[in-house]
Amino acid sequence: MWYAVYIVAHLLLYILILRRLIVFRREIVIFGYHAISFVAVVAVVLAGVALSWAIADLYEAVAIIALHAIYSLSFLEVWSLSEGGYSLQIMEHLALAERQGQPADLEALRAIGSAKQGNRLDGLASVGLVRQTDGAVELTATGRLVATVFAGLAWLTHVRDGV
Amino acid sequence: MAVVLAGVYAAVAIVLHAVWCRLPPALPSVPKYVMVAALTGSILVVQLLLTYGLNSATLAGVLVYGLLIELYLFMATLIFSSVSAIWVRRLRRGSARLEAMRELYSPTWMVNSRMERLVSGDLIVKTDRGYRVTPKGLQMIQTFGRLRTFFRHAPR
Repeated sequence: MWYAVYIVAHLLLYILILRRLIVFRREIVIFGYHAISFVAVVAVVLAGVALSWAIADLYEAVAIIALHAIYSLSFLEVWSLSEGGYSLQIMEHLALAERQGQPADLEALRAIGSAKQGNRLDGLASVGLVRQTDGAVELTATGRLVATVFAGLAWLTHVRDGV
Repeated sequence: MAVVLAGVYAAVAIVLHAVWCRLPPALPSVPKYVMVAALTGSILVVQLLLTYGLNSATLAGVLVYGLLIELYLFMATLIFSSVSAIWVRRLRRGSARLEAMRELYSPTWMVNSRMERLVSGDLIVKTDRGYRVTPKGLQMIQTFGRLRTFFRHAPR
């Protein structure tokens, strides 16, 4: 049960201390907080399995790794969504306009979209998924692999957005 | 074996969801997925308990199933909500002029596509005087407002 205690301690450390630190408002820091913990836990449980070679320990190791992955993925998703989802910003904008008895300023919403558009293209290039040459943008080899996975997911979920 | 079984059940949930997405009623994709995953997961839990009893094998199977289901949900929502993912999918058809991409997936398109999705999710509604946030949408704003305070994100 040490792993359950560890995950609760990891969460409590963030709630009680770390979230009050300005540095922990940065995405890269919060991601690192979870990534380092995950890698450390994986290393510890795999070392335990390597020493014992018992099937029960292997199941326990898988359970611990899966539990940490669920915890970190859920935490990071909620953290990221609450930071600045575009849909959420649109709803907040509409609700504010309604409270003030004014029509929604769609230009302001488009301005947010415009900023996001620029950031995303730079982001895709920085992680090596796209490259720009002479005003054109194309996928890299890694980008094509990711795009194939995305296309498969779009087919499975029957997305009909015309992309 | 319990972990393999979890993988098989997760694959079954994904296939059932893919089939249901092509059938009526026209519910949004995510609620359909949650229902299918919950049903499939319940059957998995029963099978694991009957096969292994209450032990680490069953726990591993359940947690791996939960992780696979969450990962798929994360990826599936990413491909239709993330602008980056939409650009990557579009570029799979071939390279494009930067200006053409910016025009095709313009801020106006981004706003309109999000608005459509918010309407289909019953979070906003179109009225004679424009769009209005529904009670469900207001509740979501409140929830995320509390979360933003909790995480100490910069206020908007």
